[in-house]
Amino acid sequence: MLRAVLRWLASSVALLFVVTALSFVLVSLAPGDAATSILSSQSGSYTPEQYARTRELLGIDEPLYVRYWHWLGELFHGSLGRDLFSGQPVAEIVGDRLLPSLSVIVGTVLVSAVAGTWLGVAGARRRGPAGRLLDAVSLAGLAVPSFWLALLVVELFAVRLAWLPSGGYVDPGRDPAGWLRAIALPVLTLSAGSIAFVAKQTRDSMAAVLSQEFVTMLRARGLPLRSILYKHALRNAAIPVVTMLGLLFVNLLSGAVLIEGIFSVPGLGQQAVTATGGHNLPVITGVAFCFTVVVIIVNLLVDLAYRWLDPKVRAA
Amino acid sequence: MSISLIATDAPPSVRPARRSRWRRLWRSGPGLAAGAFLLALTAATVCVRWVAPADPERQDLAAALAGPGAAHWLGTDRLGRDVLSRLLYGAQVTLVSVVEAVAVFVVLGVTLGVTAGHLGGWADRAISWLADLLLALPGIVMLLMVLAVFPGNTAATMVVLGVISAPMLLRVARGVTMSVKRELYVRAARLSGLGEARIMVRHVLPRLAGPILVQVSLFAATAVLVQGALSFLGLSAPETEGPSWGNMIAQAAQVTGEDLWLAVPTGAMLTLTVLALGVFGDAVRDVTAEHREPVARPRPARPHTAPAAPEEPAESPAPLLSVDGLTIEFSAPGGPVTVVRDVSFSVAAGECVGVIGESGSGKTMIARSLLGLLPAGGAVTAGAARFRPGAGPVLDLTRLDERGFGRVRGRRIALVSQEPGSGLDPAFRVGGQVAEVIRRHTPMSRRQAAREAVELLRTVRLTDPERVARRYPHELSGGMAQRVAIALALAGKPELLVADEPTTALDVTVQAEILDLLRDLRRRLGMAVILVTHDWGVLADICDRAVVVYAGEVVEQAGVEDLYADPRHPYTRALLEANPHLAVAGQDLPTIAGTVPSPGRWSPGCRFRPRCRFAADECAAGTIPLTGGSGDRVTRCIRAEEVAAL
Amino acid sequence: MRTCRRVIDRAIPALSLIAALSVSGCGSTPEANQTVGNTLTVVTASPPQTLDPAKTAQNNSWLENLAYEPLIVRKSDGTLTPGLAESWSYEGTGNKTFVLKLRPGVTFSDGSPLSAQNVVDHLKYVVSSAGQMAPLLAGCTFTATDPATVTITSPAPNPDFPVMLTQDFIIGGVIGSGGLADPGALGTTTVGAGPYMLDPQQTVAGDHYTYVPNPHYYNAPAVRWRKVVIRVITTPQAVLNALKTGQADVAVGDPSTVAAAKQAGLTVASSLFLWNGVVLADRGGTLAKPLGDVRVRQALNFATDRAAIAKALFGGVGEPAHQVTVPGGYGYDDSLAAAYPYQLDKAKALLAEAGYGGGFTLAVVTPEYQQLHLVAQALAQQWKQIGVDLRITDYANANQYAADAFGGKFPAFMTAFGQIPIWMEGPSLFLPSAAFNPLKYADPALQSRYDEAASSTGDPKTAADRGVVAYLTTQAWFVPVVMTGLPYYARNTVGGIATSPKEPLLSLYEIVPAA
Repeated sequence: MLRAVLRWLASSVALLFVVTALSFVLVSLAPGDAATSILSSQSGSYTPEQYARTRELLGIDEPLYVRYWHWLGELFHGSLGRDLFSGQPVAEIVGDRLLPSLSVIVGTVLVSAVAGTWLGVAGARRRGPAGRLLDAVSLAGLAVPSFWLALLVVELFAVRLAWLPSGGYVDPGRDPAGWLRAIALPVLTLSAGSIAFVAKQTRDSMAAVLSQEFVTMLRARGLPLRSILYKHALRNAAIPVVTMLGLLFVNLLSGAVLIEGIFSVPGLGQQAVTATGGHNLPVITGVAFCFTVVVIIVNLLVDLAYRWLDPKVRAA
Repeated sequence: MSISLIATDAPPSVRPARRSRWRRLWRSGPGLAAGAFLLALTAATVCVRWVAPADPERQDLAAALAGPGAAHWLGTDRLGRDVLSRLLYGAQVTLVSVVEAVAVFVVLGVTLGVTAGHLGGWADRAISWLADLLLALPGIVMLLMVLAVFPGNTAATMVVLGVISAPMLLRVARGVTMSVKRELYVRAARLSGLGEARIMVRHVLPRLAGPILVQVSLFAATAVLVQGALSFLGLSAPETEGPSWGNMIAQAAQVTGEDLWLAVPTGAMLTLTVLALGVFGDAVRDVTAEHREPVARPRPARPHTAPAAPEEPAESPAPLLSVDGLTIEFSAPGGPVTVVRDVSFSVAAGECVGVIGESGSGKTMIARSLLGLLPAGGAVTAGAARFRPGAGPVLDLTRLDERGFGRVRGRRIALVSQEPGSGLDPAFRVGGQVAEVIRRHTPMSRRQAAREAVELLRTVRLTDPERVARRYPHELSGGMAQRVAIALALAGKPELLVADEPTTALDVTVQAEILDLLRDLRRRLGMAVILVTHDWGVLADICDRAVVVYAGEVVEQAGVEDLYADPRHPYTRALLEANPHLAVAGQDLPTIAGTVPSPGRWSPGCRFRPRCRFAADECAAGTIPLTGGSGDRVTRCIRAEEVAAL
Repeated sequence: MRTCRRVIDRAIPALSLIAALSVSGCGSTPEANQTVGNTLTVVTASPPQTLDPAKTAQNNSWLENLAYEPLIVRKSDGTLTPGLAESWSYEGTGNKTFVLKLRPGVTFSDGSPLSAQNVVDHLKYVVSSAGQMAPLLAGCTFTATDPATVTITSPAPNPDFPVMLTQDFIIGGVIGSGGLADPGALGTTTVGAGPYMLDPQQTVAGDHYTYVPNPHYYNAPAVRWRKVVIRVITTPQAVLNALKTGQADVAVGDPSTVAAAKQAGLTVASSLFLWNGVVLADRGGTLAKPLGDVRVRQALNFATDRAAIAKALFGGVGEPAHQVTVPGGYGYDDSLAAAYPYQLDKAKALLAEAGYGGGFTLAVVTPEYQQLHLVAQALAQQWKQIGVDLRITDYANANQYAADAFGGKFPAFMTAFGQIPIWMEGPSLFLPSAAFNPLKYADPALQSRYDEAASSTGDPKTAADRGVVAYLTTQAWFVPVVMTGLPYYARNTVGGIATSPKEPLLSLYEIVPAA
């Protein structure tokens, strides 16, 4: 057990190291830097002296590895550095933005898990026209580009029907109902594909489980269908599905970026886009760091769920 | 028959003749349609100059945002350009992007995957670690940073997408390579001096083709979406470089409040393309997957509708179970196939009847039909199986629905299957599984059921039942698992136990213990047993009578001792001679030449004729009837007297 | 979603959208029967990189104006009225020494009092921060002549100190001494003497900024809302949707959504303010030789069908533009209102005369804000008629656009430019030092006209301004295509939404709860 924990820690640290170092290198390769970004946003043209002075002010005149070393040092003290432009601590920026992103992503994963599982079980049981219809709907859900669907969903549910707000984000601590309403449309949009994804995985997995001998034996022992499907078969089918949910979560981190803008959700993805455009290295690295930590945590949760679901893994 | 839980398994005996994979793909409607769409789209993209109705850049500012009409079938955009033409030209960007991304994906994924799978060891570990790392990278951040380095460069993003997605293909390629490497014929090829490169080309790569195609079509769908999204975000393929689907939607997004139509054609096109790739990938998967799904879904053969035959007046005490003219059919693409025909036998209360035959003879189907557990597509189409439980009305097991069986399974008739381990739910502890079945049949508290479960485990002679109860199936040995399976079968206190090859998967000493247990339980509990086996030793050990089946028919039925001493059917005789228990030391064990013919290929007349050393011309003429002998013996052989006389 | 591009571009537009969004009318006379509204939600299109008035880009001025009272307030009719300064004037001749008398009894939101030394420190901070406006104050000295008097001395004539110190250019909003002591915090907090102050607790940077009344504000009756929330929504369509669905009361719109906003029954207010078009930067003909010939530049102007573009892309808010200013704006010349009618024959003749009858290839770079990439594509089609092959490079990331356009890599680039005083326009648009003149083209005739305008006042100044614009127009340094206003959208929950040709910018302070 201890060994497993240590191995997990080591690989997590290695991953964070690679990701953050990669951000430093990639951003430094990009044409221009934060100084040009600031100067051209302020006055358009600038002298070499102005440029040098701005670089010095921003502290980006040192070699890359030195800056990375400093960054690591600050990280060791629990800081992610400061925004080059506003001076706001990056940890604070990322913290503010994490919750909206997670709200949408976790909401989508939950909705997809429940609805997708239900559809998947139904699909595994029923073949024939109903099953094929389910397949078709699933595939269509997977195929619709979320950014396009978002446009239509806003137009329909927010503008025409006025059921839900067209965008924005509300702090759940202040107004839980408002929060739910605010994330409803983004979650709905992202769920179209995710439900289909989960349903498909569940169906395949359930179909495989249902064809196993032990299911026949459960029937032979006279257990009711409900118990067989939802207790026994689903528990076994859930093992690959949980992996897929983890993958879904990680994919949604990227997918959410596409629709955050349309729904004006102040999420991490939006922040990443802005920061990359302005060469705001501390923020970019902070976002990449945060994404990676989320990925690591999700993978850990998947591992734990795995252990819980599959006694063979638990023993190993 | 009732609804089937399982839709994926074709009964092994009626698997359709192997057809070419590609022909099967051709036969799958949606896959074909998707392939055709993709082909047409590619063709239109390549020949766009001749296909597109107008110049995609030709503006008509006066006709901006015109709806669909005769002049512009799909309307015009904000600068009055023909949407249909732009859609077709925009496909070029998509096509080129997909090709770039897929090229990187395939080269990287296959090379690394095959290398890892082939070399194994540290190379495998290093490559797998790399794959894990790539998968954990925050994809969107990587793409954004790469776009900062190569502003607006679609190719760069597609290369990165290919790289960060390659682990998916890598894992598949690695898995296939490893499994191929382990296969016998490849080992044989290597031993026979075939070079590694040739093995790769001749054995590994062909096997990879299917899985690669599946992964590629799914990844291509991803690439289409990602390229569209980046272009929509304005991060690559800007409008000034020509139409792309992404920038067309981006333009439409600016005017949704005014004119929603502009968003429709492009979004629909994007969706259709991704859909087609997905459907195509699925179709390829279905065709190439190892567990081949039947092309046509099995429809249950028509259940029998003949009126129930009036029950003969009971003479002596009626048997517990009397099977009468049982016929089982499976649906198959070429029409229903009979796998069991006109089988009759009976089981008295407390009696043990063996059903013996080679695999493929239909004996398992007979056993399972009694519990309504035929695989998908199978159904009893004629005959009856009257079951007279100690209490309650007589039931015809061939006419029960799922609810009816709910009252029979486990409680009146129980089943023990061949594979002890796979008969248990791997996810739950043994004790819990036993308790659940106990509670199902006898209402009681959870705690009490748990105690009962331990007791039951003790009954099947498991040492330390408390500990076994806490274990998971994978922690049990085969013998322990089979004892647990028997305990589960006993949980409902059934009157009839159907044991389907209960010892086949066990090693010899354990076999004996299990048989001993069964014999003992039968004596103590007064259960009747139907024992399905191919093993004379097992049969002799506990059965009173035996039914010999061949190719779906009963060929002989007699008391076990009579059968041993005086087999009347050539098949029974051949089986007995092939029995290892009776082998004479130092002599080669005789075998029966040939195999059981698969259903639908039964020869007319006597089905055993092609393998029978007594076969004569008249054996081929007409159906051979079952003829009675002394006592309750019956035989299906016109030369039975001669066989017996030997 | 144009999100990212908006986010990025709006950070950039530099002087092109200068003073795009601002608040005016602080200190307006309180009405007799005032109601105070609960919450005013306004939408701005780009997240600010910082709230520091000395460093921020001009297009986020709403955020600073709410908290930082300017020295001089420009009212919606264009007149300048007292803000933190009670009076101001030039001393002597030549527009070089400027004196401000401060209002007594003013305190900042942190409770500290306003003093002349405070204003001097503020101005010095503005210069040292090297922000957008700093070059215009370069070389100036600031002195606190007495506790209530500030004197600014400029090395060169500057006729526009009063305008520069209004809210429109942000730096007029004085930072309190507490803020100047800790400039690092100014990015995320406010220390001003304005009617509101930022509430960091209810603020998420980049998404929404909440302002609450400043208890120390000297003119309490001018505070008409208990709370003002500025939300950042980067997509024009999403901005429109927020208004349509009642999530916001007021927003700055976009030409692409004006028609839909009118359809939806929103109040739309817009007065001409910007011109969109092409900067023919290579007047010397170094990158693209043909541009060195004035006849070629004029030919491009004659080959532009402005009316068609205005109608198709700027429905309802755009008009053909021929000059680098708008009617009623600085230096507008009525006689040149239609200087370049759409005349292909004339354009072809001019090209032939210049020796380019066979046409030529011209590279242009464009950002994607203000629909400039669409305008560029329309121009490409139109100029093809006279044989000019316009090759467009399109950057969604405005940083890249700015780097290439202002870095002198292209002979021409697309732009949207808000009209500003000619003296300020010179160093940004057309003088050799200007960002919009990246190839540093110098023209003595233009310089002398500019110098004349800089040192004169009154009517001679107006005439001199007009002379500069007329020269730029006839010399065809630009191809202005369409002039537009900034469209403002409002719901019927609020009143006081009005702009005028004299003040095209919407003033937040004139927004009142609907009766």
